[in-house]
Amino acid sequence: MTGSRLPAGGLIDRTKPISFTFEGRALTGYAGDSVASALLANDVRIVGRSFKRHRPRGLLSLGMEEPNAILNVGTGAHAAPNRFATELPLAQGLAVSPTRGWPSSRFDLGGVLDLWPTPLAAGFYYKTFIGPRLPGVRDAWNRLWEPLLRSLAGQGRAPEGVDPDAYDHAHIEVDVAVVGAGLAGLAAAEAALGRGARVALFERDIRPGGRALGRDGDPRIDDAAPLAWAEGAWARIADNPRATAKLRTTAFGLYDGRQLAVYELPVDGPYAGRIWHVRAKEIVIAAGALERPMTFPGNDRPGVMLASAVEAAIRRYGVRPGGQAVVFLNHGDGAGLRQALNAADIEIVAEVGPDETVTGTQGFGRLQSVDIAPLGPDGLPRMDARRRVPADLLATSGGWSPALALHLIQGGRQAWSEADGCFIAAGGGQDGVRLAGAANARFSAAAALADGHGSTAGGAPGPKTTGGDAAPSGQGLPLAPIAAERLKRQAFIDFQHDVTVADIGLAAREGFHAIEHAKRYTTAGMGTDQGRTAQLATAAALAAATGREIGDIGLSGLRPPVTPVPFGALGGWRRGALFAPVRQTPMHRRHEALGAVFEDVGDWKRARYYAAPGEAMAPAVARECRAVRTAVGALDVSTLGKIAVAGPDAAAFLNRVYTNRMDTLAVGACRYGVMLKDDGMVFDDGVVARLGPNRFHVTTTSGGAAAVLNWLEDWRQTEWPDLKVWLASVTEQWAGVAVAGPNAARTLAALAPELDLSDTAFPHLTWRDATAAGLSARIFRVSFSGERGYEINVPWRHGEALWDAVLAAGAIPYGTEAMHVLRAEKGFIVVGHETDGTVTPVDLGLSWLISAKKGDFIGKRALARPALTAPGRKQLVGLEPEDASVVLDEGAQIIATATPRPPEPMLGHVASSYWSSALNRGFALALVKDGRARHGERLFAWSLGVAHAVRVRDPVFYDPKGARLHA
Amino acid sequence: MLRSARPWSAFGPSAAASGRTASGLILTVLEAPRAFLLQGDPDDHRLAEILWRTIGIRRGLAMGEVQRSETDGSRLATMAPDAWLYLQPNPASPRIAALTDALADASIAALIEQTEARSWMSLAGAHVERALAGLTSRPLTPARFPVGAGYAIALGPVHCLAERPGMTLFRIACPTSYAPYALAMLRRI
Repeated sequence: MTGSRLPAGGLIDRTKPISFTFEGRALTGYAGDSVASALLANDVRIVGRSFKRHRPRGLLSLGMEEPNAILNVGTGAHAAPNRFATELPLAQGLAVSPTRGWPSSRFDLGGVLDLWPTPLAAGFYYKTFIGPRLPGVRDAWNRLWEPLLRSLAGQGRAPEGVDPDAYDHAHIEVDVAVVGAGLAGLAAAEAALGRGARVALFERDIRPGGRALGRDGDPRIDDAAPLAWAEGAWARIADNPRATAKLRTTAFGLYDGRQLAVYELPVDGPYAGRIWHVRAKEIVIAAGALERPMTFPGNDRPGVMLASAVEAAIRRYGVRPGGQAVVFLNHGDGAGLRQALNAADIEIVAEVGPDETVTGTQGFGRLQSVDIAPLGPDGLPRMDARRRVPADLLATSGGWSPALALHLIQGGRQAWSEADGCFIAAGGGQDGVRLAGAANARFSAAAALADGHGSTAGGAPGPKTTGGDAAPSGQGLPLAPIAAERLKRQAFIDFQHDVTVADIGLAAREGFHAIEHAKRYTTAGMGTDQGRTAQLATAAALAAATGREIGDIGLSGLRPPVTPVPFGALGGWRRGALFAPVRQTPMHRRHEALGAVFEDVGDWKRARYYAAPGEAMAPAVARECRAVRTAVGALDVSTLGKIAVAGPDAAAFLNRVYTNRMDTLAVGACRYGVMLKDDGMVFDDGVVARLGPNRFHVTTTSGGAAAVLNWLEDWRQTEWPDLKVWLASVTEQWAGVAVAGPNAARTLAALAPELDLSDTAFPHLTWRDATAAGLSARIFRVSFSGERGYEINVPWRHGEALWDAVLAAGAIPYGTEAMHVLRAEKGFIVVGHETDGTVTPVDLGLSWLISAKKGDFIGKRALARPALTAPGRKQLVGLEPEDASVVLDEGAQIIATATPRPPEPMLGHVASSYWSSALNRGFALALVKDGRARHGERLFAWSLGVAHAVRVRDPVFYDPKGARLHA
Repeated sequence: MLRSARPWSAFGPSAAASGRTASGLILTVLEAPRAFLLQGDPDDHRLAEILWRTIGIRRGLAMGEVQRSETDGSRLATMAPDAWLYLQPNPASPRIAALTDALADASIAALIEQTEARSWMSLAGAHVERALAGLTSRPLTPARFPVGAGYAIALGPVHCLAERPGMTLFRIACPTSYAPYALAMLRRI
């Protein structure tokens, strides 16, 4: 091993070398390395280029907060973008590359953008590319600027091809879930187990211990070194049968009901990743604290690292990150760092004292020197007295902030603590969710252990600590005073998004004084690292720019996921054939055999049309329509929602649900009805059949069945609990076939010879129990096509047999597309086509369905409101294109002129549009303002730049007198 | 209403769909019992009397409770405070007629046949609890889902019923129309 690897030390296994590539270069590390530490050991100092200015960037940290080393991992379909090098365990053959930089991260042509960064200041995309338009380039933003910016910026490359990896989801319910296996988290988990609880413990690192992994100087715990104690505690927890303990597992969301979302990267096994859905009575967030970088000119140069990262590089990974170091801290907790530097034989060439600051850094792609200047009486650096110190490492720390992300995304509050020099949790959030350890601003090891142990009340005494302890003392804001405006453009606050102190100042000058506004204007904190190293500096800079206290500024909000999670993991096993649930009717195989082309209706697969070999959709649909109009057709209606309504108050209940009366419905009869939402708008429609004095059979739309049942249950249970009525879905109890056409009776007679089908014995809108095709059946005489029609219902298991029998009796199968054509020719509505949540039954010409004789019903009061009866409402009409060959686009806007000029008034829209073989022309149903008063008027249907002249008419195109119902 | 009792496979996946899941669990397609959803006032003693008289089972009142007949393997699962599911494995049992006759007018309670509405299958194996936990948020530990209990659960996006006849055995009823999807879902665990 060459490069910067120390000859000994660290928590790596030097007997297990691992080969990997970075940007095509073959490199070697050891088991126990992260990709980041291995790059550092191989003297790779530039790990990527910055987002906007393409500045060379190196490792700032070695933890989850890393903003620079965000890599593409793998190639082809296995590629994964947005992986933090600091969190990626080194693996044999791993291929990683920087997110940006062409032709390479070391020599990137995009770096020219940094020569004159002024145009790339905050909000530049809001200002620069909107106008003026380039001569000869129409739509310059979409055609030129956005593609250019995307090629220069972006956050990684999407995989090529379908992800071949498998992902899984798992649910677990425990008494206590602990996030973080640092000292506090381990103490919390052990305490909970000690009192008999079931515990889940999640740690995102590959080892437990938290800060004990990378630092020294903490006290002994139960007479053991901190790391040894942590590993012992982990082993005890993992061995406990009441515990689930997972490494490489990151909590990324916390939701109502104390549900924690956790992403696990299994070390082995069949899955590439697993999402854990964890429900817990108590959640302990022991996610630690994040070190803040100091903000000063040139603070992004490779070689400037967080003090904790320098210490971890030496102690955990056995890497010497430099030879000559400058130390720049804003607190007194530097002893461990100095010991580590000495142990690695790194010369401390300068320590920036409390009356000094760093005013700049130099070096191309690697730190070579640091400028240090004393502070003058005005608090600003005296640039005339600065000195230049040769150094290739600058260890910096602007203090520590508790990791509050999970606390904040569940609604927790935060407040500035002057004593701690950071924002701390200040209540809010869910009951039973607590922070512990450094996340709770208990920065010393002893305090963290006590806090973790105590956060799970009760149980045995906690771990005992002996010896010295270390905690940041007197930490201030991580914002160094900067002498000149031009230097502020080199002082980075958000490394991932290239946001500088100057950007925050600009946002403040332009009126973005609130932290949320400044965040969105500058994009500070909006990267994949969610601004972990940027948040406090952003607030500090905004406070300075607006003359306020940082406590009045606050930190910007966060939302889950708090760390990148692959889409594949979120999708889990729901991919391919399992991506979406599918419902099939019992006749599904028959439809497939008939060449059906299916459409999705809710989760259902419905046959849209049956294409003969080589037959296109239009002729197939026309053929099916002709069959129904001239002979007999068969449609699978098993998907219709069916609800059994029973009880002594069933009729009264339905009277309140539908606009028309259902209490007058005779046993053996059916009635069409619409139900409204309380705002008076049509919600669903269907046929109600009375099976007995206290029993009804209600049908709904196929896609709306579940929503209707939920809606009815809602009213039954919450508004009318006094009614003795019960509801049950029987959708899948009954399979159904609609038989429609002038030969429908003849067909049914062949199937049910004992049934009297005369109009007097079995009139329209009645139902009968009968034997059909040898099956016990319930037959409804209803029609959705305008032809004489029957819907034959049999128990679900007999659906296929019924279908076979109906077709054997001569019926031609037709699909949902023909069904739509046929119903539209009759002016029958379909919920979702002719309704959109803003349409009343009066608008649809269904006033006859609104009973004036009965009492209240849902939506009645709303229907009487002036706005729903005022002129100007859109009403259902028919449209005939003047060119009969035209089939209008559904959604086309109805306007009064063929040559619209914005803002052209919109009179309505086309709701349904088809070709009618019966009419031998295109036709449409539309909702048009005051439509019923416009019959005969010439209007235009405009879509995609084309206006077709149409004639407004009554919506019933076919058999307006309904004679064919009795044919 | 049912004129003939055709095998369950006539309206759902056939028994041939039985087999091993990806992790070795035994997945078995079952014949469906006759199923009736009973809804009524839990405090109505007339309903309790009818149930005891016709099917020989006392109502349970706690969610998840499954009361069993000691004589014919039928059972009554408490689905909601005012809803129970009567499951009768013998499709020709005279108890069905007795119950339906007693409640035919729906004046005391509603009895709705749902035999066709669900497809039944079982899943067995030592790690069945862990494997099912990948599909459902319903707690499956014996303390939360004891042997003998039955609950409404969501398996992925599909709302099902689940019974636990044994520590390593679950019986699952999914909506019939979702059966092919549910089987595919279970095969992969």
